[in-house]
Parts: sequence; C-alpha cells; structure tokens
Amino acid sequence: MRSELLSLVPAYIRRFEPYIPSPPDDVLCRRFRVEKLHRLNNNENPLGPPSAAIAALKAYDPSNASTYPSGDCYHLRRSLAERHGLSPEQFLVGNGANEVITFVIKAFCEAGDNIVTADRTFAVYEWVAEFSGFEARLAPLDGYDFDPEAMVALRDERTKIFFVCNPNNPTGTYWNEERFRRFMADVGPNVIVVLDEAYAEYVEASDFPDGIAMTQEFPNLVVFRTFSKMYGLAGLRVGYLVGSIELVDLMRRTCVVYSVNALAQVGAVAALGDREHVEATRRVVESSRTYLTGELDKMGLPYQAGVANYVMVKLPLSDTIAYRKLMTHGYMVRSMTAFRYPNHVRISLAALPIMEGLVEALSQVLELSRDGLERSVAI
Amino acid sequence: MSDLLRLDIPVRLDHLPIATGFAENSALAFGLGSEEALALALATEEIIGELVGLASHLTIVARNGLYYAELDFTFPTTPLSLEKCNLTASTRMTTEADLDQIGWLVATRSVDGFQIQQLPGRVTRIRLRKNRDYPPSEVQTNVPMPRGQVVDIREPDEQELLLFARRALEQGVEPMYAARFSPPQRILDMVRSKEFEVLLGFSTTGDPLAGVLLDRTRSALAIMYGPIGFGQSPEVLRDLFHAVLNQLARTSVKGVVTESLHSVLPESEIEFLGSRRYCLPDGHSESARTSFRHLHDDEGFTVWSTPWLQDFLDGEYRRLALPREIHTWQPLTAGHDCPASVLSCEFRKRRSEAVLRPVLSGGDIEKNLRDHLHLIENEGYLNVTFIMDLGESFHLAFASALQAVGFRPAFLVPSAGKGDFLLFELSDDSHPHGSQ
Repeated sequence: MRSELLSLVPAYIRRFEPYIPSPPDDVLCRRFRVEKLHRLNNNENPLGPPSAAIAALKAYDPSNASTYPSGDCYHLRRSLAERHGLSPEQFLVGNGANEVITFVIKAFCEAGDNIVTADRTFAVYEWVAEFSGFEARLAPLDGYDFDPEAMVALRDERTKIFFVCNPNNPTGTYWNEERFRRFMADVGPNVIVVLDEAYAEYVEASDFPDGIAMTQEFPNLVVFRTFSKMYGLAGLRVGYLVGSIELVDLMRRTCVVYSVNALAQVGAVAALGDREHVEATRRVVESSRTYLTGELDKMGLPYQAGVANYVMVKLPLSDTIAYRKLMTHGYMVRSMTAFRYPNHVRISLAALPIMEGLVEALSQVLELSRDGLERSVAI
Repeated sequence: MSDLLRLDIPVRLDHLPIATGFAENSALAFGLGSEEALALALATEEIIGELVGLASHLTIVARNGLYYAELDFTFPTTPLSLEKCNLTASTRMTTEADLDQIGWLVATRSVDGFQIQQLPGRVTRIRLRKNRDYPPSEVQTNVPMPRGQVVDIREPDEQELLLFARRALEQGVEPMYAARFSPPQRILDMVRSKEFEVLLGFSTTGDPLAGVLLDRTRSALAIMYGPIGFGQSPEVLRDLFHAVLNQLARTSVKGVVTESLHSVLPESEIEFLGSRRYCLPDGHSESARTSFRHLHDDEGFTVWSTPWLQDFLDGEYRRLALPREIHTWQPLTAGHDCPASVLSCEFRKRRSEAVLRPVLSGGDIEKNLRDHLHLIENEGYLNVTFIMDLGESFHLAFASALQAVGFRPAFLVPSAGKGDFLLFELSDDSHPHGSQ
C-alpha cells in the first residue's frame, strides 16, 4: 500500500492482525482429503436448532425478504422481557454476541481508557478493545478460573469495563453467586461489569448466578446471552445484552439498527419457547461428557471438563500438529495455542457416535506421535 | 532525535555530496563510529553512481536500529532499472574486467547487510545495513554454572539480561546462538530496539538459569534462539518454549522457526523441517536443523509445483500433514514477456551466506543464476541459499534452471510468505567451494 494511504490508518489498526475464519467444509474436505468433516471446534448445539425454530423458519414467507426487518427486534425483545420478567427496554439485540461486545465498548470507552479481562478467555473482548484503540489488560487465570483479585489489581482510573466470561470459554469453570457478589462489591458501582453468559443454559448447578436477574440489583451490570449455543441458531447470528434501562439506553446510541435479519428474529422468538430442546441438549452433552472424559482417563490424558458443552484436553504433543492430523481423520477441534494454552485442544461435545469416532482418531494420532514424544536431546 | 530521517533528492552526480553527507551524518547521529559512518557514505556513493540514468528521483531513509544503522534507497521501478538491479549488472560496466568494480558489489563490501528488493507498487528498494561496533567484552570460559531450579519465567531487566548473555558465552552455547549474545552489550540494544525479545527462567533467588531469544523482525514468523538450558531439565526447556508461544499468541506471528545444531525440544513440540549444511571459513561444515511450530491452525491453501519438485513436495506435505492443493506450473508457450530475469540477492556476512530470491521471470534465468553464483563465489561467500515462495506462480519458472545449476530442495517453511517457502541449497559438487 502507498505510504500516504498507510499513514491514514491508526497505529492500533496497523498492528492488529485480522482474524481469518476457517474455509467452508467443502474446501476443507478437499484439502484434507476427507469425505466428511465433523466440526467440534465451535461449541455448536449437537442437536441443531429447536424444532419450533425449524418450523418457524420453514413458515417464513420468502417474499417478505424485500422489506427491512424490525430495526430493534421489537417482538424478540418482548419475548425475552416476558421470559425474564423485565422490561423490553432492558434488552438490546445484535448480530451475534460479538456485535453486542462492540455496543458496550463503544458506549463507555474513549481514548486512553482500558478494559480488564482474563488472558485465557474468549478473545473477542480483547480484540474489539485493541482494534478500537483501547488497552486490553489481561489478568492471568488462577488455575483454570477467572481470578477476581488479579483483575481488580489491574484496574486504574481509566478502567471502564470488566469482562467476565461465566462459564469461561475455554476452561468451562464458573464463578458461583457468592464469588460474583464479592467481585461486584470489590469493584463497586463506578465501573461497568460485563458478565458473558453465552453458555449459561448448559449449567445446571444451583449456585450458578442468575446474571440477568442480578441486573435489577446492580445498575452497572451488563449480561450477554446468545442464540448460537444452546438454541442452535449460530448460522443466524443473534445475541443480546441485558442491563438497567439507563445503561441500555446509553448503549443503544452506539447500535446501528437493522443488523439482525428478519429470519433470525423469527427463529429466535420460536426457539425461546422450546424448553424440551434445552433439556434434550443437556442430556446429550452430559452423556458425551461422561463418555469422553472416561476415554481420556483411559488414555491418561489430563482434561478440564467444566460445565459447558466442551472439554479442554492437554495433549502430549503440539495442538497445532494434532489439529492437522485429526483433520485428516475428518475431525475438527480447536487448537488452544491462540488461547495461550499450548498443547491443549478444545473439543465440542457432540452426539455419542461422533465422539466415539473422535476418540478413535485421537488414539491413532497419539500412537503415531509416540515415536516423536520419546525423542528429546538436551543441550 | 528521530529514529527515522528522510532525504528526497534528484539522482544526479552533482548531488552526490548531499546523499553521502546524509548517510554519514545520520549514522553519526545514531551513535555509530566515524569508520562505520564513512563506510555507509562510501556505499551510498556507489549506489548513487549506479542509479544515475536509472532513476530520476530517490528517497533515502536512514533508520536507527540501535545496534545498527540502516539506509533504504527507494525509487520507482522502470524496465531498465529493474534489469540493472541484478547484482551482476552495471550501468557503468563496459568490459568483463569491470566485473569486480560493479557499484553494487563495491557497496556490499563496505556494509554488513545488502539487499535489493522489488516492493509492491513498482518500487525498488536497496537496503544497506551497517552494524554498530561494540567494545570487545572479556568473557571467561569454564565458569561454574550456579545450581538451582527454574521457578519463574519472565522478561528480564537489563542487568539480568547482561548476566544471562555473559553466561551464554561462558558456558559455550552452540555457535549459532553464541553469535547473538556476543558481545553481551549488543543484546541490550537488540532488545531495546524491540526487534528482539528475551524470556529468562529464574531460580528462587532470582538467578537467570535458562533463557530464549526471539527475533521479531518478521511479521509472519518469529525466529527462536534456544531454549538454552545449561543442563536444566527438558521440562524447563518446554516451559520456556510454552512461554514463548503464550507471548506470541494473538499476534501476527503464524509460526516459530528455529535453527540449531542439536535438537533441544522433542518433535512432539516442534516439527523437524529439514537440515542444511553450512560451510565454515576453516574448511569444515556443519549441519543445522530447522524446526517449526505453528501458532495458528493451518487450514491449507494453493501452492505451485513443477514435475521436478512434485515428489519432494508430495512427500514433505504428507510427512508434515500440511493440507495443500498443489497446482502444476506451466511455462509460457509464447515465450517470456521480459527477456531478462531479475534476482534479488541478500548478503549475510555473519553467516557468510548469500540468499537469492526471484524478482522477475525472463528468458535468461539459467545464465542469470550462473552469473550470480560466479559473482558470489568471487566475493568469497561460502553458502548460497535460494528461496522460492510456492504461493507465487512465477517463482516456479526458476525451477528448471535451479536444477540445471545444481541446486536441490532442502526443506519447506510453512506459511512463510504468500505460500510456503521452499529453500534450496547447492548440491555438494555444485558448491562454490566444493565438497566439504
């Protein structure tokens, strides 16, 4: 690029590395020479969308595609409000949870501000802050847990937002209600706390905090939820945030309306009402978790199972090598080096036959690598 | 004082003192000694002399790299200037006897690094680098290494770094690493320049017992020197390596490359790419291993090949489980657009190495390659590497000529350019200094 054009670009954009999503399955199958690819890398719902959502999507009249959708997801916000016993004005819907992250950061941060999150968590908080010109301060996890003290220690007068992923992606650990309340008390009311509950619907533990209800109690609390995980609508991109009416009114100012398409709104409204799907998904995930962790025990591989629909496994070899070799068997997992967990992979929990195939493929990859594992020459 | 100084001038001999003065004074302002500054001025004089008639205007940017000064000469590329940017070409050469006096060559002799490159936007860049001289540092050998166990890995302060660099030299780390730590004062500037990063492993008493050095001058690849453990356990070396990976996570770096005489990490951590033989001035040679660790998922891309390279690439891509769609490059049936090919040549004096890269395909590739090899041999360089980017189809036009002059494929470096890099080395009987 001509240097004159390059000089127009802020330094924080120039140094930012774009995220390149994986190519579509047909391309990956061709490159890795497999007929079918099982995607166990994005923590999608193994059962797909709820049947109610499928029916609603099928019933959608394609001729309506010529008109704009509801600009602020009018019906969906009312359905959510009814579901949670709150006002529709407390909800803001975006094109996936990724978009609502930008709503919050744009609403509260200005030049010189910073956000605080963990070093080994969902990367998008850090990315959005960095490519918007704000510093992302990263507190090391305490073991596999978010460390409240380490996060608070990073705060200064320019800290605007704390991002807490609960349960954490990729470790699956969570703060219980008591710990979260202590954190809210420690940070006080003059900073925004975002509680990302993308995987909350998978958690059955009684001490798991109900973040959405707690927005009534804490005016500085914002909660994220998504339809991409439990509700199986990842392809339609619907996520939302919840907060006090005053906070949401502020964040609305940074929200470009019409970003959630009509089909997505119809699917999300229908999905909300399908309780059976949630229960069925939980059962599949639970049985897959039990099976996979049992097999990992037999293989002697350490793992971190957590409460969500994925398991993080520590391998005795490079995760990026394991990724490529598992791909040649038709299984796509998430390598964790980019999450700052070298030699770990995160595996989404899917239906049992798929997990059995994965275990078989993983065994073969480890067997083939055994020779390499034993080669080590110290200087 | 700015780290970047810039001069725009017409390319005319009567402006020569302006350019040489700029080069010399920039180097002096950056803290280099008068001898080094004069060497840059002399190289500048040769370059301007070669460029008269090839370019009308020129931009010179002087950069303070702290442990070196660098001059970039950039000018718009024209067909004539492109052809004349072969190291073997000269606008002033009239007879074969003048070969020794080609301006580019004279310039290379004055400096520590020389590179001619074509940049996007039809711009040619000539880059000169002159290293800062550091006072020699007396380093004792056979000094006992303090005992202890590494309990903390972090970036060192300057005193800790100096202590570690001194230890690396005292303990006799392998020559490829030792060159980076010598003299210890130099590594301080390398780290201050932000071009290098260091992570050290400390004992409970804060003593640096192990470490690793990272070259961050390239955006896609980081070059790793180490881990250096002085007898620390394989687990400590692995922990240092993982600290490197964590440091590089979520950056533009796609992979870590390391070259060493001995493997210090198991292949389960870092993949063996291949070996290369380096000739040493004393007549011996040594074989260096190159290894690689991906930081991102490699989801594949298209690369180009020729029948000569097909078996090698098939085997290597299978061994490394790298997903590549290999397309066969076909030579133009109607002949080349350009009669003259162009090669970029980079001299790395510390390693006595010349690195060739394709710039432009043409009808004279084999002759051009032979001319370059002849010149490299005359200049006394002991090692020649040819780097082909398999993502650039026109690079494959050089394959048959490489085979004809005695190059052989050595190994792949994944994702190093637009595609993977394929490094070639001269086979023993084609080496400029014969079989070692």
